[in-house]
Amino acid sequence: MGGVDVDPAWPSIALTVNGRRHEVSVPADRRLAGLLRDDLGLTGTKLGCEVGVCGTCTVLVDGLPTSSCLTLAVQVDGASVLTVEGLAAFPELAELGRAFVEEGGFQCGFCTSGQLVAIAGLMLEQRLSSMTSEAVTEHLHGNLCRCTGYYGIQRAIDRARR
Amino acid sequence: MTSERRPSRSSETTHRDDPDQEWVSGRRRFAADIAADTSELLHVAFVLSTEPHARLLDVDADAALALPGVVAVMTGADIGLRLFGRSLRDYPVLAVDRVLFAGQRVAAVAAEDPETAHRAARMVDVSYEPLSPLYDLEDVFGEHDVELHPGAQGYEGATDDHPFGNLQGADVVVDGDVDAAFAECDHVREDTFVFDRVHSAPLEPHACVVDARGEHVSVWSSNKVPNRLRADLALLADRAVGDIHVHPTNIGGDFGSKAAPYLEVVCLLLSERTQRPVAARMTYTEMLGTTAVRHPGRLRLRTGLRQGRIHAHEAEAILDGGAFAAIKPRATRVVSILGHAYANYEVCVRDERAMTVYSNNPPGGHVRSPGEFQSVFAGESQVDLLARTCGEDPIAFRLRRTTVPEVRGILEELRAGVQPWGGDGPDVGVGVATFGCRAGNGESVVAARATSSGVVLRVGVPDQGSGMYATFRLLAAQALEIPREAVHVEAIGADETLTDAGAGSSRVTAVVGSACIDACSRLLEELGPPDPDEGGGYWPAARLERMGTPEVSVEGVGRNRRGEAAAVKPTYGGLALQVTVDRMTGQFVIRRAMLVVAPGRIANPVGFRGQLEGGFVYGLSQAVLERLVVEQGQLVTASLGDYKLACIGDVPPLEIRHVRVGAETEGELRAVGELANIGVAPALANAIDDAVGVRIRTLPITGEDVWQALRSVGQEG
Ligand code: FES
Ligand code: FES
Repeated sequence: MGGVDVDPAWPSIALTVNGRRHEVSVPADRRLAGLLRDDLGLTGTKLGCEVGVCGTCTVLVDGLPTSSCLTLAVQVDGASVLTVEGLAAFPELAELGRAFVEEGGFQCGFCTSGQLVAIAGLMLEQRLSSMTSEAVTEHLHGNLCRCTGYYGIQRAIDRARR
Repeated sequence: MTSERRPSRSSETTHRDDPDQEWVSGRRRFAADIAADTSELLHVAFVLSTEPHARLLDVDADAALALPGVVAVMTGADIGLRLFGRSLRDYPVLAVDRVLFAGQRVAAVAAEDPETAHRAARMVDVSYEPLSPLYDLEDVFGEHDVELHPGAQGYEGATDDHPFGNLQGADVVVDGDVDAAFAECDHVREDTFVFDRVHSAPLEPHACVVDARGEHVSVWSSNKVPNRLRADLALLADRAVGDIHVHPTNIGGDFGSKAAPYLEVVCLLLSERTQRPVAARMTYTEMLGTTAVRHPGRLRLRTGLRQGRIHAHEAEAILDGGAFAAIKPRATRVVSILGHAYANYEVCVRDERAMTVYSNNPPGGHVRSPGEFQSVFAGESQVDLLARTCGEDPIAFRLRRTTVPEVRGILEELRAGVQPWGGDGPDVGVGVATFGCRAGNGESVVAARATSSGVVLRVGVPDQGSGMYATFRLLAAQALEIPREAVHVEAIGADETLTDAGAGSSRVTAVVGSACIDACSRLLEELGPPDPDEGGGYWPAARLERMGTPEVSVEGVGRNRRGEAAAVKPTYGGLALQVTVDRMTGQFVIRRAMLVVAPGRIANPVGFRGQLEGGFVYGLSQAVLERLVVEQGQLVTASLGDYKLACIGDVPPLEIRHVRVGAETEGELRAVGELANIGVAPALANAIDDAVGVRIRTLPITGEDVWQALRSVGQEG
C-alpha cells in the first residue's frame, strides 16, 4: 500500500473508522460491509439481506445511517465511518445499551448492531428527544427484527429518549 | 493478492454465557464472524440449479477454475450420492444425476475471497435436460407418469408402506366411527382452508466454518442441532465421530431454518481437499429458496353438532412437501397438523388424516409451529362460523364447549378485556381465537459444577436466539438461592458425553430448563440445604471449604415424552384483535390486540414477554404480509426486498395479560416459543367477519382477498 502502482482491480482507499485512520487495498467490488468485517475485523456489523432492506449492516457514514451491504468500499474513500464497535466511545449512548438489555430489545442479537447504530445516529445529532415517536418509528422502518416483535426495542428507545 | 488478515482466534472450545454487554457492543459472534476471524480461509459459493426438474448432463467448471483466486470446484460427480435427512435420507448434499427443484445445490466453488467465489460460481456451466415437472397439488394428483423419487424405497428411513410414488408421508388420528357420528348430528358444516408458502426467515443467513486440516475437524455452524450435525458429518464425510468437534456457536434466529447440514458437508470435503479452512455463508436468496418453507396446501374441516355439542369432526390435509422430505424430523413425514383444530374443546369422535406429497418446489420444513399455524387458523375460524350459525356469541360458544380450565379462564379474561373496545364505529370488528402449545419430545442432560467462585452449567443446546441461557442462569440462581451473577452457562457444542436433542419444538425451556433444575437439586443433595446468609450471598464457597473439597459435580436430566404422565403441560393462550376494514379497498388495520396466556412458571420474565411479543408479530407477519412466491418452480420473491417481513411500523398496540388457573401446576415450566404466533390468523379472519361479514379462508389474508370477498356478496364500498 502507498506504492505508486495502483492496481485498478484492487484500489487503495483511506478512511476513518471509529476514529482510527486506515489505508487499505481492496477488490473493486468489495462492499463496505466486507471491508469492515473481513479486512478490519469489525464483525459487529452483520450481513443479512444484502439488498439494503433489513438494516443489520447499518453503519454511520459521515453521520448518516447507511447500508454497508450496498455501499462499495471505494465509495467511502475519505469518509468517516462509525460502527457498533465505536459506540462505546460516547458516554451519552450507554443508557441505550442498558435499556436494550433490560427491556428485551433483542433476543438472538443479530439485528441489534444495526438497531443501535440507527438509533445512535439520532442521539448523536441530538434529534431523538425532539422527534415524535411516529418519526422515530419511521426512521427505523429499515431495521428489521425477526425475534422481538419490536415492542422491547420501542421500550428501550422510550427510555433513551427521556 | 489476499488482503491482510489477523491470526486465527477461533480455537476456543467452549464459551461462557455472554455478559449482558456483549449483546450491545457488537462483540457477540455468529458463525460468519468466526469466518472473518480465521486466517488462510477459503470462501465457498454454491452453484444452484436453475431447473426445477431435469437430468444433469454435465457440469463444466473449466472457466471457473481458470479465474484467478479460485482454488477448487466440487461437483456431485466428484463426491457421489451422499444423502442427508432427519427422518428420511432423500436429499443429496450435491445433485448427482438429477435436480428436483430450482435452487438445489449442484456444485461448490472455493476461492480466496467471497466475491471471487460467487463470480466463479456464476461461470460454472451446467447442462440440463428438462423433465416434466410437478408444481402443485393439482399436478401431483393429475394424470402423469412422473415419479420424483423412483428409488424412495432404498432411502434410509423409508417405510414399507408406500401406496403411491409421490407420497412423502401420511398421518392419521382416528378415535371412532365418524360417519356414524355425522349421521347423528343435527348441524354439519364443511370448510376448506388454503395456505400459501411462507418462510422461516431468521435474519442471520445460515453460515459455517470448517477446518479439516490434520486429524481433527473443527466446525462452527449456525446449525441448531450440533449433536446431529456431528453425526451427519461423520457419516457423510467418512470420518470418525470422535474426530469432529462442533464448537458452540451463537445462532442469529432459527425458526426452523437451521436444522440441516446444507453447507457443512461440502465445506468439510473441500477443506480436506484443499487443506485450508473453509467458510460458507448463504446469500439471502439461497436462504429463501433452499431452507425451511412452511408447507403450502389445503385443509378441509367437516364438523357436526348434536344438540349443541361438537359431536363429529373430520379433517383432511394435503400438503406440498416439495422436492425432499429430509428436513422434516417426524417419522410420518407430515408436519404436526392433526389434532390442533378443536383441541381445546370436547369433541366426541375425530377422524383426521393428512398426507404430504413430493413436488418440484423448494422442500418444506418445520417453520415455527409447522402445522399448528395452519390448523389452528382453520379450526378457530370454523369454531366462529359454527357460533354464528348457532346464533351464539363466539366467546360464549367457546366457553360452553371447552374442557380446559385454562382456556375457560383465558376466555373470561378476554371477554372482560374486549368489553371496553366494543361498538367503535361501522366496519370495526373484534375477533378471538384460543390455542395451545405443547413442548416437543426430547431429552437433555445438563452438567453442573459448584466451585468456590460460582456454579457452571454445561449445556449442549446452542443458543438459537431466544435468550434461553439467561433463563438457565435464573433457574439455577433461584433453585440454589445464589446471585444470578454467580451462575455461568458454558455451551459445549456437540459432545457425546451430554445428551441433547437440540433447539426447536418449543422444547428448550421446559426440557433443558428442567435438566438445570434437576442438576441444581442434585447439587443441593451434595452440598446440603442453601443458606444465603453464609459467605455473603454465594454460600456454596464456604460450604465447599468446610467440606474440604474444591468442587462438586453432578448431572441433571430433563425430558419430555408426550402422552406420559410426566409430560410437560401445554401452555394455553387466547388472542383478541380489533380491526377496521375499508370497504372501498378491502384494506384492514389492526387497531389493537390483547393476548391472554396461562403461563405456568415464568422463569425469566423479560425472556417470557419477549417470546410472546415476538411470537405475536411473527404470526402477524406470516398472516398478512408474507408470501413466498414460487411460480413454475422458480422463486419469485427472491430477496427480502420482495419477501416482506413486518417492520416496526407494522405492529399494533399489544396488551398481554396472564391468568392463573389452579395452583398445582403453577410451578412447572412450560413451552411458549410457538404459542402466540398461531392465534393471529384466525383472530384476524374472525375480526374481519365481525366487521364486514365476509369470511377469508386463505393465508396470507390480504386486503385484496377481503375486497374480492366483499364484491362477491355485493358489499364493497
Ligand atoms: S444486509 Fe444490508 S440492509 Fe440487509
Ligand atoms: S433480535 Fe433476532 S433479529 Fe432482532
